[in-house]
Amino acid sequence: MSSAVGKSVPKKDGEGIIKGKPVYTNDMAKRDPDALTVRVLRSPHAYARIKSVDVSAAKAMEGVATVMTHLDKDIPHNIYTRAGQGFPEPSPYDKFILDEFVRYVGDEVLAVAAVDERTAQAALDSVKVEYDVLEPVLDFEKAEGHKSVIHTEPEACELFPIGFEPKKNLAASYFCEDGDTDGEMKKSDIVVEDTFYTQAQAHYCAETHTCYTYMDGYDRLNVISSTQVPHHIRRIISKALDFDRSRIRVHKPKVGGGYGGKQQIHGEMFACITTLRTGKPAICNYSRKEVFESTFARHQMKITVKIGANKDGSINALDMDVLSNTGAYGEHALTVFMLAGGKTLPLYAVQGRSKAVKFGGKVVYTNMTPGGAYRGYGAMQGNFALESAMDMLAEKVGVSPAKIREMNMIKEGQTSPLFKLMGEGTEGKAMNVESCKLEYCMKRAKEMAGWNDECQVTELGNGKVRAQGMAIAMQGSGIVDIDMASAALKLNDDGFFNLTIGATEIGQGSDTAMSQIAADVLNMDSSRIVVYSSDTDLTPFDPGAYASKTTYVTGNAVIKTAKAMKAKIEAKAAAIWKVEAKEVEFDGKMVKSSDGKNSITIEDLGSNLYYDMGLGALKGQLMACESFTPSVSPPPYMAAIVDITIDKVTGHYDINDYIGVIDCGGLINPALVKVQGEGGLVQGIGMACYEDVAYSDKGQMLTNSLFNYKVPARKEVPKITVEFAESYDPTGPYGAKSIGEIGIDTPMAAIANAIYAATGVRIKDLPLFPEKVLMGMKK
Amino acid sequence: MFRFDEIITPKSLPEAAKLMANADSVAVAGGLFLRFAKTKCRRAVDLSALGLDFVKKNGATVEIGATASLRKVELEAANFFAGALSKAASMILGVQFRNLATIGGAVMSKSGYSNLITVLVALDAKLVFASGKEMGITEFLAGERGNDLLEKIVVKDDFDGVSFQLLQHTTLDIAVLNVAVAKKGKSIAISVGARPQVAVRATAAEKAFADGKDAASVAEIAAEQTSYSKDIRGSVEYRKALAQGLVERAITEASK
Amino acid sequence: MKLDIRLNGAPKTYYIKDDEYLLDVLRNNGITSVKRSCDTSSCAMCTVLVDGKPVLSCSFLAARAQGKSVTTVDGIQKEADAFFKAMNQEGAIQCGYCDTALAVTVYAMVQELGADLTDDEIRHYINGNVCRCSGYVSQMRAIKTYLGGLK
Repeated sequence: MSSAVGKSVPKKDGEGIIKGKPVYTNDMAKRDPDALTVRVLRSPHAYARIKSVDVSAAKAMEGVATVMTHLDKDIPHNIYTRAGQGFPEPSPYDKFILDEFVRYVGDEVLAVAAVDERTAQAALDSVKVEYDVLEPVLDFEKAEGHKSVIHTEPEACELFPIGFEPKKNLAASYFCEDGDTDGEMKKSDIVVEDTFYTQAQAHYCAETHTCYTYMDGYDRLNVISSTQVPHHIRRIISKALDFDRSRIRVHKPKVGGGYGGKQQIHGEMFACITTLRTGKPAICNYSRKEVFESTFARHQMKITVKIGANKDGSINALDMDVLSNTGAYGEHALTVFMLAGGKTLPLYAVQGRSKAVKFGGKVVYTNMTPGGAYRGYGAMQGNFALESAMDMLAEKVGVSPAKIREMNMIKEGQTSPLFKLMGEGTEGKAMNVESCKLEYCMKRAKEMAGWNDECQVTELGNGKVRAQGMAIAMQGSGIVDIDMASAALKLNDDGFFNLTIGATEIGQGSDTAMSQIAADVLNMDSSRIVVYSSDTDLTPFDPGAYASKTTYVTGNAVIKTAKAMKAKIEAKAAAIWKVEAKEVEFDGKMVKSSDGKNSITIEDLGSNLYYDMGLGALKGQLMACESFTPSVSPPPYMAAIVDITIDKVTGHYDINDYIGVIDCGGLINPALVKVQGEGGLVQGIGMACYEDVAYSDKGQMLTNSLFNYKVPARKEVPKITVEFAESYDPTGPYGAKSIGEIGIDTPMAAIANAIYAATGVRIKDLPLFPEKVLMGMKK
Repeated sequence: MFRFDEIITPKSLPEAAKLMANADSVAVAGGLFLRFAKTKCRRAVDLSALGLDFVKKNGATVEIGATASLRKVELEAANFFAGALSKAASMILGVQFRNLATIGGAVMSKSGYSNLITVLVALDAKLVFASGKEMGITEFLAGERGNDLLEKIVVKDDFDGVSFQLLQHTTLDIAVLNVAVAKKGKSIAISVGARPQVAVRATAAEKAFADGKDAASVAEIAAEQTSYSKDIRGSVEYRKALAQGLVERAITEASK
Repeated sequence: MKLDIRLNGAPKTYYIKDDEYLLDVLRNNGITSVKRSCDTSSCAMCTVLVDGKPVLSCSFLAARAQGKSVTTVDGIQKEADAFFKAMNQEGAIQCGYCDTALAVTVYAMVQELGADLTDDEIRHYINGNVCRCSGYVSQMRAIKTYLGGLK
């Protein structure tokens, strides 16, 4: 009987949030009247060298505390990467805090800090900058070998080989192959090959990127940041600013949305410099325009997929070639691109069945908003290409889209050569798929959708046609050998516990889920576990919230920690009672010896350990801390079917229902897991249907506001139906795999496939605007 | 950012007009467009207390005060013009926006994408200004904006049918193209907006309708005679195709 | 200028610049339950009620609130408690940044239209409330639970 896991326990922080408690970074900063406001002057040019800056008027302005320019000697000129990844990062070091070159519209020119927003803005307005405007690279297909080289700084480097060739505008490149792919293609009866384009989706986190810095009474730099990666932020700040790491504390309060958008460092440097220079608190709260133009977006990609199959549809060989656009800086350049293949091709590149697979490509620099981490992290780009191509293959073979997947998809107990070939920017590790309920997911999704293998289209008359389309997907659960998460439990008087974790609660509910896991191991109610997370001073290490890792990696660390705590409680009671530890059992309420002679409630034991004079030297704090490093990354899987109605007069389509059946292993908190699935789907639907990114021919982003960049509203998605397969991964905490990213992967291909079924128009570039549907039909 | 030194809230239209006669004054209706304008002025003249927040039927005509909110138009004009003006208003962003934005603000800003202007053009609405001047909306849209304050919009509600159609990417987006058709006996008014320029009448198509051409042919003429441009929401070709499809649909609906 | 409003039922006086917006006046005075998000009047995360009607506080000149009543989520803690709980039970409070505004809007919806509403009516009233986490359907489940309890 489970005491906490498997229950839809309400989020511990949920009510506080919705009641409006001051829990986000800016809410806290607003309560500090001394905080200076930091504003950044941003480049109006896509590529330019700063010839001169005149900040004399700004410096003279009343209320201006400090001005930061690239000429300042006290700002270190250390090359670094803003990517919040483990060290050494697989991203190139290609960024200075401030530089004489600006490489995209929105790049940082200089920064000011002033007593308030208006003064800071007035100071920026008074600055005079002369630019030497350079020719920008704005077409990622022409970036490699372009006469404009974006990174000429001699300091730029890679920390280990990632294919970094800045002279050619290459941030990274990679190639791998298992078997003889070209040979197998030649031997195949049917070959499908096509090229697909995916756009640079914006995260649209509700809370703009914000940080608040101050020096505390110990003269240490405190950074309160809306971030997914507090421990990485501490490391990056320390190295970039040459500032003693032991004097930095990074603390994450509630975060208003992340989705990967806060897995980089943003305004923290300028706030830190302001506080270090002036001794005063500082706040850097990005405007929405800054978030759109000057943070990070999903990497734009061009993906060519080739599938070779036998007459019956069985796949012989898969080939994926990717060109990825990392924009002006190379954050996550290599790894996002690699996962376009790494987290899609194993769906069909099954050891012992398909004969060969290859994956490769390049990541180029352009003078555009940098690419960064975003939920789906390459997998969703690859999924659009691969799962569109699978429908094309089905048509050529003459079987239904469901059949082609059912006969080729990976099954429980199988493996893919790609698991060993591809890791996080390095080699991977072989892994058997211990849990995979894709067959069930497909079967159930078809049942729910009323899927018809013969025909997926219904003419409704009046210019309307209804159709269904499908796609399947996989992700991972953390990063093998690289991730390491830890947890600590402390027993308090009155028998409740503090659980401290580095894992980063960003709304997904990890604080609550982790408390459920700890409570369940200890066989108590999760209300007895007080959680505190993501504070580099107070919590143990965790990489942060990314790569679908928290439930799986941190969850396993929490299990180990709770087991260790249970053992310590039993050992301590045994010592007090002078019996063998194995004679003592803690059942969640009582600690008892097996001879029945001794028993004590956990409340009393907790209190006695700290107050009971009679215990003498046996008094003492009980604490446990354990860590977990994953040696596999079990993929969650999903089968999705979308049901749409297309208006053939306008090309517009309504999404009647989006059905997703997910195998993410055991469910720690079913309600929270479900909402992760639903929310991921709607973000994927946004990418698929509405969210376009447009630039002017000078490199100015045109979609830099929510007025012009359209995320789905609720009328767009009246129905989303998510279910879960019964599944248990033997390596997961309570059988759990990840849920954070899998939801976002399928909508692009599923909807494109439905549009094709309805109209015969195969859209290969996202988003799937009604214009493309209608103009395709008119061709 | 809209910046000013002082805000004055006059209680009557003449008082407001007098304030506007001073140099360096800007009138604020809903204030939603102004917020993004890089406008800096001495004085903001707040129009919210002029008593012009009304939608009323006056005999055969409907009068809508300049500061009637879009939400008010959505709710209170539902029974006028076959509900087309109400529908056009209801499809503009969320209720929090519509409670602030005013029909006068929409008309006076001459926004190309305006749903309301497209309907008002088809309805051949009359604008009544503080100076007493009256002007048809088509004439107003073609002319200079001037400093005259709008008092109200007056429309005869004697149509057999009115239809508003649009295509938008999301329900919180502005239209890629919008169309309104108002039918009275054998005559019809066709207005095409969000081209992305502001709505215009398709007069050749209107004549073809009067000559007895069917909806499909009229729609084709309307699409042909109207000009379009490209922007981030759509191409010229797509807008033209939409115009044809939506005009035909609107004629059919207005003829029911 | 001197701004007198009733904030959540209590009289308040603020000394403001004439061209300040209500959102900034509230946040600068500690009412941080009201959130800024989009900057372009497109997301409704800054929703407050002015004389009972939901408006975008980011676009509402504070001077226009003179003499009016302003309600934020802080003013409906008891009235909306069942909604808070329904949302949390559903797991619908994810990052939560949009939820104070949603609570205020749902409260206004019930005041304006009552609790007996179709799904389409609910969606139309709150369509302006953008959320990037919840997928919206979890919010709908919570709203229906809440409305069911009011009927």
